Amino acid sequence: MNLIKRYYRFRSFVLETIGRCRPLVRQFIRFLALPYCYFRMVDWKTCPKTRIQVAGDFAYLFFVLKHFPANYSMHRLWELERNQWAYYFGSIYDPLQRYAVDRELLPKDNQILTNDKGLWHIMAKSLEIPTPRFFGEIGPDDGFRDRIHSLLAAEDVPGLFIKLQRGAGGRNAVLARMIEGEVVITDAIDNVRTLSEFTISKTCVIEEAITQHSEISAIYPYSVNSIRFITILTQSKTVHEIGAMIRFGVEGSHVDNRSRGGIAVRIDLESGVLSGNGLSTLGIDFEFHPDSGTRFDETQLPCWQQIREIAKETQSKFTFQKLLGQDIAITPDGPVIMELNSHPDTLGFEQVCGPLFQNRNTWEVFKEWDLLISRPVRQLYS
Amino acid sequence: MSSNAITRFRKLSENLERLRIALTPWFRVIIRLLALPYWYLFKVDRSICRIGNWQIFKDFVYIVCVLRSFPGTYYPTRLWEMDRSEWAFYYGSILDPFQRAALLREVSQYEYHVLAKDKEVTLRVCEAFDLPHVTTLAILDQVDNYKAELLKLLKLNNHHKLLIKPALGSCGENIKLIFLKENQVWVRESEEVYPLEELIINQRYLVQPFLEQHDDLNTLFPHAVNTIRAITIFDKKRNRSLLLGAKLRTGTRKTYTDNMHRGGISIGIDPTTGRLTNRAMDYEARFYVDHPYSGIPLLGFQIPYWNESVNLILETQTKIKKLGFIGHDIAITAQGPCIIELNHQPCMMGFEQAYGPIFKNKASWEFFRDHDLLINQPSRNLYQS
Repeated sequence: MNLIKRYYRFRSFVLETIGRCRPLVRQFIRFLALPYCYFRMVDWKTCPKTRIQVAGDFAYLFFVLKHFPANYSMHRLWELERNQWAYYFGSIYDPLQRYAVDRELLPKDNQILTNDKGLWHIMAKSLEIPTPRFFGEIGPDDGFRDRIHSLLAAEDVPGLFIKLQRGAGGRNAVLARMIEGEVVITDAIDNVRTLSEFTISKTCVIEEAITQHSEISAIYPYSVNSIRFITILTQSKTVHEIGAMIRFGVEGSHVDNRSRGGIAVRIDLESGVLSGNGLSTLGIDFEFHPDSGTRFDETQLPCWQQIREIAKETQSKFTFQKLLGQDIAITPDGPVIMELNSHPDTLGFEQVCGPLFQNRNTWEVFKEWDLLISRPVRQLYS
Repeated sequence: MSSNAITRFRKLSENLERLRIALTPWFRVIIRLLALPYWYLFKVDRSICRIGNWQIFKDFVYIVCVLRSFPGTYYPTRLWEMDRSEWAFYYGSILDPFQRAALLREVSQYEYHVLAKDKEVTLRVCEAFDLPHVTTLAILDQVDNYKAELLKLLKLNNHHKLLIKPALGSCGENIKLIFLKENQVWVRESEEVYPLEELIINQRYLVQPFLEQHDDLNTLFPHAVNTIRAITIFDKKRNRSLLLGAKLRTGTRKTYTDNMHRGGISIGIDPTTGRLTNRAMDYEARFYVDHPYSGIPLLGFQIPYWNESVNLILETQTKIKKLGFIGHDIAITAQGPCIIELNHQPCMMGFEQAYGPIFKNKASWEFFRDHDLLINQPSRNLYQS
């Protein structure tokens, strides 16, 4: 028996060591990718610094702040003093950051609970979290066309959203609508197909295409413009709101994802008022929505206090993941949670909302969970 | 060029991952081979298995080389008592490297194990699908004021006994019984009893009332909830669930759990009638004819609500089809069956010990054959003539 126990102890030691080495290996691979980042990911037209200065900045980011410098251009760090850089968390996919976050907040086993959209709906139903109506899953071989047709014919829904069960960034999401007795499928780049032309290669989930609040539709009517609300659970089980932004689709697209050209605007957490201009992923500034001409700054979002309540409640109920990027849509009846993201894109979030650690409370919660990777970040506020 | 480099890098890491998955069972086989002498010398009780060391050695070699299994099943299932041609009807341990790799690949994806591994997730899934399950009064961890909370739950709900189970526990480990006695609250953990003030919890626990089981099962053994362990598999090709078999577990020595690891015994259930069979064994592979506590004859004992239990088991597997292979722990109350917990890696060895070889049912064998889960030639050749 002792022998077996010893073997298991040895095995867990080996596995733990491999687990600890993994982020270091990944960091090394990123080190090899630094020249690529230097030559391809810096907007040399707008960056006023010399190549040598940028190389020095990269070295500082990588070796001192322990970030891959993908955010250098995105956050226009050249415009800031170096001591300001520590306020940025950087990418949640940076190896050391990710290792710490997964270890403390997002156990690997639990990530499937949000990564699988069908499973997320099951969890949401049990936890009484409001979501769009869920009509189940379809696979490439289970007569999905009949299913879509019968749902659209029978259910009182304006349309159906069909998303990959394990997709991200709005990839392959399509909208199915019944127009004059025919099912019409529209994809993210507005290609229109009939149902017979529509195919799926992997399991998908079917959700109701919700009708959004008229005040949000007035800004951009073709996509469900969702709020990305990031929350974290503290060790004493209270919910800390890290921040929120809202994303709008553009040019007729029916998805609002920034990776599909969408624009994001920061939301003032206390008031629910949009603050500042909209930003695309490429860093292009929009004072007005390019389609509707609505001015972003100082626009009040409807149902804001309700949204905050739902975001906090969702985080406190869904304790399997202690850090959540919540995608919230506002319907005429109030907010609903579209989906939860286990690894919210902090890079894009900081581009729109500013550095996470500008808020001292956020820094303290991250410190409490031992998520501060580099010394300059740990020394903020001390 | 640069995006090509990234694509190539991704392909390389995917291929490395595939290689890792392919090599893992072989690596595990090597570790098991190293453990063989230990098993041969210490895990076969020679006072019960009296066929001689040379014969045991030959049997071990046959199991490893021909059946491609680790002979961990040899003693618990008393293989020496039967003809070798019968051995292929046994699936063996789910933890055997090749069996495990095939199951993970075909029916039980690793990432969905959390549905059964974490009891809180199981609870949520059962709630969402309206599957009857044992009530959970609270979920507590080290941050909560758990002693006060337990006291409150014990008194408010008028429960005399509560069970607290770690959300991530298995084999009945760390399950504690909280009970009132002489106006004081006590904790029982295995054989140890101590006051509630001394309770320390360092992980997430589910608090559940101690279930009142059906009277028939109480007559068998009243001190633990005697549960049914059923194993099912989901057939994606035919979109249906298949019951591989079932057994009843009962406590024996005033234990409050029925796990075999904690001294319980298991008895096979005839799936068509719900009556106990003559295969009753404990963890040490000792046979029983009557229940050692109550003296009730085991053979023919009727499980109450059997048809309802089978329906619940199959319904659960069909609804939770993302997890294609489930071990169900079902309790029978006066109102009917309810789910106690689900298991993502049910112990097949212990299961076959009580239920018997699962491939005796041709439908089960066909499922395993159709899903490429048979890993040795003798089991592939079953029913061929």
